[in-house]
Amino acid sequence: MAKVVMEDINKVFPDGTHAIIDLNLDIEDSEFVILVGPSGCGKSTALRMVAGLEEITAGKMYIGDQVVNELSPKERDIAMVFQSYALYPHMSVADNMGFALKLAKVSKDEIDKRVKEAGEVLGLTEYLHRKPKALSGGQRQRVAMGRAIVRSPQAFLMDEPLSNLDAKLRVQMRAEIAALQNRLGVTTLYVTHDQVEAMTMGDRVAVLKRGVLAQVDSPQTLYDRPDNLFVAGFIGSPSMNVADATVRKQDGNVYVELDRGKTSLRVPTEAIDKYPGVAKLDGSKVAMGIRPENLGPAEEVAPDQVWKGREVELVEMLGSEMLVHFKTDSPPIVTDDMKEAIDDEEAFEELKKQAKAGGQTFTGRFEPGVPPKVGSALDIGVVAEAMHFFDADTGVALR
Amino acid sequence: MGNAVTGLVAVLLGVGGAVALFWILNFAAERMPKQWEERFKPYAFIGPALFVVGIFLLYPSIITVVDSFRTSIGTADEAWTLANYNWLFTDPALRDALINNFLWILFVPAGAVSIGLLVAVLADRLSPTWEKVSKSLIFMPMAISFVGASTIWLFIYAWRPPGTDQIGLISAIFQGLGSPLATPIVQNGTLRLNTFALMIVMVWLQAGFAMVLLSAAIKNVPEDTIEAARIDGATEIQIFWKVTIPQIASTIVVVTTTILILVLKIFDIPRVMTSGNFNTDVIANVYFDQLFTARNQGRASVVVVALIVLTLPFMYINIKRFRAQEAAR
Repeated sequence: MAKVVMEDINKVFPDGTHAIIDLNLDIEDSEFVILVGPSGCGKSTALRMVAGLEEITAGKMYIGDQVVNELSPKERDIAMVFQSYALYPHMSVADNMGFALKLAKVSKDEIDKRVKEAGEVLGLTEYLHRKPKALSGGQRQRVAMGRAIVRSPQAFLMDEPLSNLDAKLRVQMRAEIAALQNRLGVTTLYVTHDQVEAMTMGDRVAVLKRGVLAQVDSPQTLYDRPDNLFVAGFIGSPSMNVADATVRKQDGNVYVELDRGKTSLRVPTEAIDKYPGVAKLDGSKVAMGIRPENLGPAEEVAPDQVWKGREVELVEMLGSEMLVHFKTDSPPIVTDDMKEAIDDEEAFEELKKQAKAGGQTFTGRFEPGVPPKVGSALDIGVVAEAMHFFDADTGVALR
Repeated sequence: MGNAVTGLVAVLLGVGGAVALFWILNFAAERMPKQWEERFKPYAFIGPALFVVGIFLLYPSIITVVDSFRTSIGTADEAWTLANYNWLFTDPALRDALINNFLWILFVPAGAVSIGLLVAVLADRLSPTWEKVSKSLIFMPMAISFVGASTIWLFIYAWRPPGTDQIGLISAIFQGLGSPLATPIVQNGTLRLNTFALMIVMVWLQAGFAMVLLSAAIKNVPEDTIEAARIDGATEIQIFWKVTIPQIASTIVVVTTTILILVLKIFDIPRVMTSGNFNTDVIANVYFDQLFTARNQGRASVVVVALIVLTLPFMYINIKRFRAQEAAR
């Protein structure tokens, strides 16, 4: 087991695509780091560079204390779990798991022992003689995991290992992989585009945007204190509501103007403590972010934090909660950051349309109860302590 | 014009006749009592096909087997005998032909598949343009007939006495290098190697076929499994033998048996290049000589029987594999 260090790593493909730009990332020994980002952000490329399947254009890659740039995958002593599992179709489950050991000329008894142990850990004992074709998707995924763990490698690399499973199995395997990693204590780099996996599994999460590391931190820190609009928009589901707003100072208080000046909410000191940059502004445009769970019933907040008379557009009853979508007159922020965070061409086009119309839909997460009527006016309580502020143009948090 | 009309009438009669035949049989079947109809119907439809197969395949086969036990067929001396079989097992020339056939079976499919595989693997690593060019070059001979290919190779092997102008490629190369060949290449005594010179023609023709199928199979091997093996610590050679080859094994078997069946019937190349002389004879050519030159129908028949018996194991394996494949679907 070893730490993995990426130092100013760059990747330029032969066609000129600059896939990874100055990536610096330290993965401590035994740490579980998730590499997350929208499709095409370069996360798989980064992982493949650690594995040695992709050449490193510039920068230094360390596994342990050794620079591995020029080493073949074999010499790096890492194990990888592929999205497609990449099982050898002509080998039994046991042979699949023991292949690396066999190549390393480990004795047959030792291979049998280790394969059996891994089979027990993963609940594959009765399938060891079967071919991958005769296994279910979940079992194949376990075999792929087994192939990695029998080797006791320096590091595990996982490339979206759960994306081919159905939703229910994915939740189960998510917990199993996290528990397994915790028990084995092997340094792990895990790539996913699913931010729920990112939030639940890792010790730390590295968020990648178009080849650039946007932020790396513990999942909760990413959620509570995003460094930029991209991380704010990408992490969390439903995602953070972000609006074009103006900061104004009045009587020693800071106010944020929404609905193109028609609504003004007081920004409490708790929020200003988190985003001190806001206090320095007066009359300037900012991107104001608020998570759905911080929008709720008007009774629960101070009167100067109530967003009055919002038209209800749609109510989603989810059993444990109620999502209320309501109209605002605050235009959305349509920067590159937001486009990447949304990671969906159609959704972004819709946002652009809303921007032109001069408003957008916000989502609030309410306790389940009597749903407000669609089309009716509703007063929304804004937990303004939890507001986030970013520079409207650069997307950088106003700290 | 008259011929065209005759042809058209023949086609109409043929197709119309088949339709009419099935219509009449079906009509007859439907007029039968219910339990009879169910039993009769399948035979009504497969009957004509069975009849045709019987007349054109089964009947000649039986006649051939029967003829193999007779001598002087069609003459007053016609008699039942085992002499043909005695000849089959004792004639040294025929034994040599059998050995040659065996050598063809042993080396040609293996040679064509190995070369096809090598080209497929190497071409896979070229840029797309060069891959296309190199594959086309290897594939091109596929379009040449056996007779045409034999003629081409006769020119390549052509030999003239040292010092004279050489028209054969190989002889010319040796003469150009200052050590002209003293003896002809193929038409030379009874060297066993002559057969191999003929086999090269077949390998040249079939390597392209093997390459096309194997190349497609190699491209179907998931790249992930190769990368997984690389991470598992396999060298490129280990990847080839332990990951790629097992995944294309079924295609290798298909290609090998296809070429094998072709080789079992080998006739054209020895016929054109040597007429079976210089120790290059094969049984199909022996059959031809016996039937049309020696006019010995009994011996010709016994050669065919031998060929059928030799083919049976391969047919059995092929059918078994085909059934297994169908069952696996």
